[in-house]
Amino acid sequence: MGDFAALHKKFTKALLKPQLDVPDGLIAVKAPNIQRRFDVYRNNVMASLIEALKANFPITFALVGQDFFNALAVGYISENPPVIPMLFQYGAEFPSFIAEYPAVSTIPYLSDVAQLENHWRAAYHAVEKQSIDITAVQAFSPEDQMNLQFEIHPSASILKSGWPIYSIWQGHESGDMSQIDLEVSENVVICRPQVNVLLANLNMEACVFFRQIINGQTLGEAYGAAAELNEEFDLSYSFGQLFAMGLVTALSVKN
Amino acid sequence: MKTINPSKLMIAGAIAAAVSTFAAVTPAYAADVEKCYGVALAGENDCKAGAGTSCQGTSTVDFQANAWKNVPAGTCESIENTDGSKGSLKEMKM
Amino acid sequence: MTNFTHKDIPNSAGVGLKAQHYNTILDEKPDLGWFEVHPENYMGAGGPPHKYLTAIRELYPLSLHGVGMSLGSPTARLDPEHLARFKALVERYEPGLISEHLAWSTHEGVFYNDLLPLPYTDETLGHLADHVNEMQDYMGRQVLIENPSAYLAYDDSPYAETEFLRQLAQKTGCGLLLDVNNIFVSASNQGYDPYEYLAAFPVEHVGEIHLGGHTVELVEEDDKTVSKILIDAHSSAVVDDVWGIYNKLIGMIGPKPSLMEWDGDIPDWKTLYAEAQTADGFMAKLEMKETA
Repeated sequence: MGDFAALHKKFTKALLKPQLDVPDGLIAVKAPNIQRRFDVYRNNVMASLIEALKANFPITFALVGQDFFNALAVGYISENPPVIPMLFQYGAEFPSFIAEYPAVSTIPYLSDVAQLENHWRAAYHAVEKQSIDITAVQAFSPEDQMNLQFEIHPSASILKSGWPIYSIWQGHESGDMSQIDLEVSENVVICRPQVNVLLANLNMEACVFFRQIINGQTLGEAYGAAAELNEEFDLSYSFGQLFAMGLVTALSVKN
Repeated sequence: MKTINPSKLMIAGAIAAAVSTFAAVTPAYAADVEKCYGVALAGENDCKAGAGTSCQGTSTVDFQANAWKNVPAGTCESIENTDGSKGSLKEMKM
Repeated sequence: MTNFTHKDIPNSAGVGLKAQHYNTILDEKPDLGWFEVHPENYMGAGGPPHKYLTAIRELYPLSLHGVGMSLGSPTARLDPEHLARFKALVERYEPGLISEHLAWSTHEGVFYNDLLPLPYTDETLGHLADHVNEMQDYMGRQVLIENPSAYLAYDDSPYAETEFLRQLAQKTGCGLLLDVNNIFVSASNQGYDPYEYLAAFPVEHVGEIHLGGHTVELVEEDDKTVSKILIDAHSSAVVDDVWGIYNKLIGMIGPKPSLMEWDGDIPDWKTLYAEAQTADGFMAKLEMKETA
C-alpha cells in the first residue's frame, strides 16, 4: 500500500532502536528539536512495556530492584516485543530470557520465580469452573475408587523447580525473605477455584502424584507412582489436598 | 526400588480418612466467594503516554544503560546462603 | 453468566474504571452516570477482572474504549482475532458506546502499546475508512473515533486533522470521540490555537468527550531556546485551560457523555469522583443557563 506503508515501516524500526535516526518525513511544527519529540514516542513504547512487565512479574521485580529489572526488561522487550495487544499476557518468554541472561548467574532461581509468576497469572485469568467436594468420592465402591479419573480445573498447573520457589513466593507475600534455604528444591501446585489464586508446596512424591492425576492417570496408578518414589507417601493427605485446592471438577471411573 | 502394588482396600482406607479429615474443613477457597480480596494489578492497557520522558532513569536514552553495570539490588539480598553470605550465590547449583 | 440488556451512556460524567477502585465502587455505589474500560484488559477467559466488571456493569452503564485495534495500520484487513475478542466483550457486556483511536499501534505483528500518529492524506483516509467500516460491520454498530495527542506531525499531511475526521465520519457513519485534553496537548505541541481547532471540528458527530491531565516537560531546542512539550500522561487533574475548552464545547453541543481519564499515579476514588463531579457541574450550569 503506497507511501504510508513505507513510512510506517521506518517509524516502527526507529521506535525500539534509539541509535537510529528519526525517520524522514516528520516535522515538529514551529520547533527544531524533532529528535526530542520522536523520543516521546520511543519512551511511551519502552516505558509502558517495562511497566507492564513490572506489573506482571512483581516478585521478580522485588528480588532484583528497579535498575536491574529495567536492564532485563529492555533486553527482553527488544528481543520479544508483544505480539498481541493484551498486556496482562505479556512476558511468556521472560523466564527463558532471564535464564539466558548472563548477569543473572548470581540469582539462578530468578527464572523459576518468573515462571511461577506466569503460572500465577495464567490461573488468575483462566476460565471459571465449579470444583467439586471431596465427599463426591463416597459414591464410588472401593473397586471403582482405584480406577477413578479426575477432571482437572482449567486454572490448575504444577511447576517443578530446583529452587525454593514456594518459600520465595511466601517470603515475598509476608515481607520476610530471611528464612529461605536455597539448598531446598520445591514444587508448586497452582489453582484458582474461585477468586484467589491458591498455591501449595508439594514434596517430590506428592508432586508425582499430582502430576499423574493431572495427566489423566487413575488414582491407583498415581498412588503407585508416588509410593514407588517414597513408600511413606501420604495418600490420604495428598488426596484431601487435591480437593482442598479445588483441583477436581468431575470424577469418572476408567473402564 | 521396589514395585508397589496398591491394594484397593488400602486406597479406600486412605480416601475414607481423607474424607473425614477434609470434608469437615471448609476448603480454603470457599471463603473468598463473597468478597474479592486480591485485586491483582497485572499489566494493564491504557491510553496514557509513558511517564517522565525526561526524568532521569526513565528516558529512552537511560534505558540503554549497560546491563552489565547493574547489580541485582532488591529483596534477593536478604536471602541468606548456607555459608552465611548474602545476596549472591557461591556457585550455580545445578 | 449474566445477560445484560443495552443501557445507553447518559449525557453526564463517567470515570475510567481502574482495578484499584473496584472494591470502593462496589461498597459505596457512588452516584455516577457510567464507567469506561479498555476492552484489552478484559480479554482473558475468566478471573477476577470479569467478576468485578460484571458486578459493576450490573450497577452502571458501560463504555468500551479500545486501544489495540490499530485502525491506522496500512494493512488490508484488521486483525480478525482481535475483532473477535472485542465483539465477544460487546456481546457479553452490552456497552452503551464503543470507541477506538485515530492512530496505529501494531506493525507486522508487533504491538507497540502506544497510539502512534499517521499522516492525513487521501491514501490514509482511504484505508482508515475501510478499517472503520470493517470494525463497524463486524460489531454491527457505530464506533466512535478519538482524536490523538500529537508530539510530531508529518511533512506530507495535506488534510487538517479536523477535516480528516469530518471526511472519515461522512464516509463511514462513525461517530467521534473528542478528547479536549488531546486538543490542548496537540495545539501546544504543534503551535496552533485550540479554540480554532474546536471551531473547525465537526462537532455534530461528537458522541463522547474525554477529559484528562497532562504533564509539561522542557526541551532544549538549541543552545538558546528552551520550549515545552505537553505529554498526555493522564496522571494529574484536568487543568483550567482544558476545562475552558470543555465548557466551550458543551456550550456548542450541549451535555454529552464526559469521561474522566486518570491512568498514572492513580488517586483515591474520592479525588477521581470529585473530578467527575466538576464535569457534571459544568453541564448543570449549562442547563440552568438554557432554562433561564
